[in-house]
Amino acid sequence: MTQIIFPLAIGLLLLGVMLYWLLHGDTSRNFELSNARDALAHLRSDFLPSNIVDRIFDHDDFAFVLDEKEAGLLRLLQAERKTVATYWLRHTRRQTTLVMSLYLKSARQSARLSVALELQIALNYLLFLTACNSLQSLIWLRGPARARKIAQQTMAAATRFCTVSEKMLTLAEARYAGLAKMSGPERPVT
Amino acid sequence: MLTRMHARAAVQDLKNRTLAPLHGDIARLVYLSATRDYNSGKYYHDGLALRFTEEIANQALAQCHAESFQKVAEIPLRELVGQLQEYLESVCADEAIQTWLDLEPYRMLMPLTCDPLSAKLFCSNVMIALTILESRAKKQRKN
Repeated sequence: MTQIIFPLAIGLLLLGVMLYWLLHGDTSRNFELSNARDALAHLRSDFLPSNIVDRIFDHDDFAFVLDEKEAGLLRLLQAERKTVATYWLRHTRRQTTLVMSLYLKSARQSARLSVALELQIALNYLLFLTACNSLQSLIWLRGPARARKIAQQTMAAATRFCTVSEKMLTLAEARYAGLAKMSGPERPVT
Repeated sequence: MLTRMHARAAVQDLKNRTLAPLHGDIARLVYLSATRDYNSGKYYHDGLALRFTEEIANQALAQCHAESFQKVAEIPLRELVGQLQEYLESVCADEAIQTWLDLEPYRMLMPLTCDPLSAKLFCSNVMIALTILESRAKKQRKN
C-alpha cells in the first residue's frame, strides 16, 4: 500500500506545482499586458496631445516676443521653451521605451505575431528614436522655434509606434483571452 | 443615465448663468479654480448644488474647470498676454503683476486631472506673459 501512496503523493505534489506555475504565469502575463495597455494610454493622453506640442514649437510666439524689442524677454522665452520641449521629449522617449520593453516582456510571448508586424514595430521604434535624437540636437543647436518640422515628424513617428503597439496588444490580449478560456472550468470536452 | 443627463444640464446651467457673464477665459479659470477646496480637491457651488446635487455640482465644476484650463493652455502667447492684462486690470494691475510673479498663484489654477505637459506649458506661458506685462509697465513708467 505504501508503495502506491508514496509515488502518488509525489505525483500529486508535482501536479500541484505545475498547476501553480501555469496559473501564476498566466496571471503575471495578464498583469504585464494590462501594464502595457496602461503605459500606451498614458503615452497617448499625456505626451502626444498635438495642440500642446504645436504650441511648444510655435514660431508665432517668438515673432510676438521679438516685436516687444527686449532681448531679455526673447532669451526668457527661448530658455523656457527649451525646458518644456526637453521635458516633453525626455518623457515621451521614456514612456515609449517602457511600452517597448513591456511588449518584449509579455505581448511578444503571448502573441505569435507575423514577421511583418514584428518588423513594423521595431522599425517604428527605431524611427522614433532617430527622430528624437535629431530633435534633441536641433533644440540645443537652434532652439525650439526652428525645430517645428522635426517635432512634427517625431510626433508622427510616436503616433505610428502607438498604432502598431495597439494592434500588437489587441492581438496579444485576444490570444490570452483564448488561452484563459481554454484552461478555465468551461474547457470543452474533446 | 439620469445622472449623466443631470450632469450635462448642470454643465450647461453653469456655463449659461455663471461663466458667460465673466469676461475672458482667465477670469473663468480663476473663478472655477476658486470653487475648489484645496484640501479635498472637491468643487462646491451652493446654487448649483441646490438645483442639482452636491455631487453633480462637483462633476460639472470639475468638467468646466478642465475645459477652461485646456483652452487657456492652448492659446497663443499674444492672446494670453492680452487676456491676462485685461484680467489683472480688472483687479489692480500694477500690484497684481508683481504679486503673481512673486507668489505664482497661477499654479493653483490647474485642475487635478490635467496632464503634466499642459501644466508645464501653462505655468511657463503665464510666467512669460507676466514678465512681458511687467516690462511694458516699466517702460510706461519711464516714459
